[in-house]
Amino acid sequence: MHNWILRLVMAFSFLWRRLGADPGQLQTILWAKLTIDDRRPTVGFAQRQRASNKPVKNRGIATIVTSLLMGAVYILICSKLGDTFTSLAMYFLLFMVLLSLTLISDFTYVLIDSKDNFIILPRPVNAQTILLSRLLHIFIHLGKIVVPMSFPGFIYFWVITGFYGAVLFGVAALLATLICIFLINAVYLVILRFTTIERFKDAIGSIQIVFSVLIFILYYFGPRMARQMNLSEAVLLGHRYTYVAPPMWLAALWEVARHPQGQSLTLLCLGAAGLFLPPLCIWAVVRFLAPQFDRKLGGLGGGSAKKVRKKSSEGRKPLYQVMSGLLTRGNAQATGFEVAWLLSGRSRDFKLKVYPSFAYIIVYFFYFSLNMNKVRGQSYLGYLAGTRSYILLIYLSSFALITSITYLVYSDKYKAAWVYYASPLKVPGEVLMGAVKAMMAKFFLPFYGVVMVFSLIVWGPSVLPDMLLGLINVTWFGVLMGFIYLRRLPFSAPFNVQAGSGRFLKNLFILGVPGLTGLAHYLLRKYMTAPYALWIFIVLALGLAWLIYGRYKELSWTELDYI
Amino acid sequence: MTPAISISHLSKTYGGNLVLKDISLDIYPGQIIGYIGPNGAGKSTTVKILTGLITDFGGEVTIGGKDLRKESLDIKRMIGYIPENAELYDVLTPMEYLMFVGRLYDMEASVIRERAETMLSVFDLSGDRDQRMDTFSKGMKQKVLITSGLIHNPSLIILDEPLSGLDANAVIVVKEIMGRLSREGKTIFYCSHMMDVVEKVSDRIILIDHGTIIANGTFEELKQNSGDSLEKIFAHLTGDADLEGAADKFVDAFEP
Repeated sequence: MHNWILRLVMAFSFLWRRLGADPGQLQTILWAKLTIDDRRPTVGFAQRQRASNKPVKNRGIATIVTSLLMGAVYILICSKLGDTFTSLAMYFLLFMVLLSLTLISDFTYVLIDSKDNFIILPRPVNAQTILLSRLLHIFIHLGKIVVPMSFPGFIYFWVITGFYGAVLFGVAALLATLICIFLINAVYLVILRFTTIERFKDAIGSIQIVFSVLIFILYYFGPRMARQMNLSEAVLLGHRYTYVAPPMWLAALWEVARHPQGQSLTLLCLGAAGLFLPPLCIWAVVRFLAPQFDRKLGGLGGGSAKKVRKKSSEGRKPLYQVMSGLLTRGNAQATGFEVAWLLSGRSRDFKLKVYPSFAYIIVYFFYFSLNMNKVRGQSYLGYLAGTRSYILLIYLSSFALITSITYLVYSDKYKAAWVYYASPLKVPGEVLMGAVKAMMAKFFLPFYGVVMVFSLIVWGPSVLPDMLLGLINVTWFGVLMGFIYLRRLPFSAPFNVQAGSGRFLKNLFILGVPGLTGLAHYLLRKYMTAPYALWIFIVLALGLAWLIYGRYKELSWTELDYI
Repeated sequence: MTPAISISHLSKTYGGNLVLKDISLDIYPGQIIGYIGPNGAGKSTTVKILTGLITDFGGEVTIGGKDLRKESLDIKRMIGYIPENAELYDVLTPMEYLMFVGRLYDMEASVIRERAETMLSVFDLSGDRDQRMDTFSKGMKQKVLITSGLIHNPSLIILDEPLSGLDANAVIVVKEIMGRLSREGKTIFYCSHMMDVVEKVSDRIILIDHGTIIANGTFEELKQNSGDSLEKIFAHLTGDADLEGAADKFVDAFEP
C-alpha cells in the first residue's frame, strides 16, 4: 500500500526539491519509516500481537479499517443531534479527540525515537530532507487515519446537503487535522520545556492513562448523559463559552461557506477563525515548533538518563525497605518484595496496564450503583446509604490487586531475570510471595484505604467488620491469583509468552472468584443477622488465607513455568 | 601529503564541563589509528564530532581537505561509521536495511544488492538476509551494522568497538578487512577498549584522557618509556598505576 502513497508523495518532487530536500533520499527515508510503521505492533494490541509470535505486517490496513469504522460510528451518533451546526461541532470534537489520542499513543514513541540520530544523521542527508521526511511521515500517518475516518461523513453530507456540502466537510476535516498537529506539538514542547526526554515519555504515558480512563467513562456514562441532556434537542450555538473550541469554528465555517448570505456576526467570526487559524497554526509548527522539537530530540543519546531519587545518606530507609522489613520474612521474600515494588514503579508498560484499573473500578462502582433503583428526589449518597453497595466496592477493589499481579511477570527486560536462576535460591515461592505482598502494599492497600474512608462516611462504622472480612478475602484470593498467574518470577517473561491452554478457564476464575465471594458476603449480611456471624467468617477467612499463603510460598522450581 | 583528517584546537563543552580540550592531530591516508582512553575521556565525543552527530564545537576540523562545518554533507559521503551501540531499524531485514542505507549514498540498487549479498555471505548471513533483524542476536546485528558502514566504499572508516558481540571467526575477518582497507589507502579511526587488538592492528595510537591527548605515536615509540604492552602503557599514562592494589582492596572487602 505504501508504494502508491510514495508515488503520490513523490509526484511533488519539484516542491520538495524547491524546499531544499533531496527527493531520492526523501523517498528512501519515507519508505523505511512506512515499512517500520507497518511492522510495529499497535498500542493496546501489542501484547496479543507479540503472543501470536507472528510478525506484524500490514498494520496500515488495520489502521484504515479501524478509522473507517470509527468515522461511521461518529457520524451515526452525531446525525441524531440537534441541528446541523451542533452535529458538525460534536463530530469534529470526537474527530479531534480521537485523532489526538491516536497521535499521542501510537505515534509519540515514533516521534521521539532517537535511532535516527545514529542511523540517518551520520549519512549525507541534509537538514531539510530530514525535517521534511519527518513532517511527511506525520502527514502520511495522519492521512491513513483522517481520510478513512472522514469518508463516512463525506458520504453522509453528500446525501444530505449535496456534493458541495460534502467537499466543505472534507475541507473542515483537513483543517481539524492541522489544528490537532499544532495542539500536540505545542503540548509536547511545553512538557519538554520543563522536563527531559525520559520524563517526557513518562508524561506521555500518563496522558495515555488519563485518556483511556476518559474514554472508559464516556463509554459507560456517555449514553446516560446524552439521555439526561436530551442531546437530540441540543443547540450549541448561543453558548458563548463554546466559542473557544475549534470544533465550533469548523462547524461555523461549513455553515458560512454553504450559506454566506445573512449569517450572524458571531457565525462569520467563528467561520473566519476556522479558515485562517489552522493554516497559521501549521505555519507555526513548521517554522517554530517542529525545529524546536527536533533540537530537543537532538539531545538524545547522552546525558538524559533518568535519575532515581537520591536516598538520604543519614541512614533513613526508603519506604519500600521499611515496608519490606515489616511485611516480609527472610531475604528471599524481601528480595521479591523490593524488586516488585521498584520495577513496578519504573516500568512504563506496567503503569499503562495497571494504573487505569483504579479508575475503572470507580467507574464500574458508580455505573452499577447508579443503575440500581433509586427513589426519585433522593440524593445519591442518601440512596447509597440505604444499600449494601459497599460490598460491591470492596470486591471491585480486588481488581487493583488482580491486575497488578497479572502483569507482574512481564517485562521487555525479561532477560535480566537470569540472576534468579543463577542464584542459590532454594524456594522461589518465597520470592513470589514477597512480590504479591508488594503489590498488596503498594497498590491494593492504599486504594482500599480510600474505599474504607468513603464507606465510613457513607455507611458509618457498622461496615468495619465487613471491610475487615473483605480485606482478608481479597488477601487470600490475591494469593490464589498468584498461583494461577504468578508462576514465573517477577519481570521474567517476555510479552510474547504463549498463554497456553486453559486461558478461558483462568479468566473465568479471575472474574468469578471475587464475584462469588462478594455474593456470598452479601448473602451473609442479608440473611445471617446475628452479630457474631460475620466474625465467624472472618476467622474462617483468616484460616483460609493462612493455608493458601503457606502453600504458595513453598512453590518449588519444578512447579514454576519456564519460557 | 595532505592529511585525511586534520584536527586543530578542537574543544567541546557540555553543561559547563570542558570534555575536549584543545585537541590537535593529523591523520594520513592509509593509516589505522587506535584511539583509546579511559571511560569518559572524550573518545565518543570526538567520534560524534567527526561523524556530524555533534555540530557545536570549537576549533577546526577538515576531512579530505574539506571543512567539517561548511561541507559536512560531502564529508559524510566519504565516511563509513560503525557506532558502538547497534542501533538498527530492526523490523527490517538485512537486505532491506542495506538497501535503505545504500540509497542514502545514492548507490544504484543493483550495486547495493550485489555488494550486500557478497558482504553478508562473508559474515555467514546469506541465509538470514530476508529475516527481520528483531530476531537476530547481538553479533548478527553487529555484522549487519559493519556491512552498512562499509557498503558505500568509504575512504574514511570510523569504528567504535566494532568487534563487540562478534564470534572469534568474525573478529578475525573484521581485523583482516581493516588491514586490507588500510593497504588500499583507506583511513581507519578505530576506538576500542580491547588493548590487544588495538596494539596489533594500529599504525599509530592516540591516547586521550580527560579531554586531552596524552600520547601520540606508534606502539614501539610508546613502549620505550611506559611499558611493554599497551595495557601497561595505558595504565601508566592514565595514572592508574596501582591496579593490583585496587584488586587487593576489592578482594579484601570479603574479609569481615
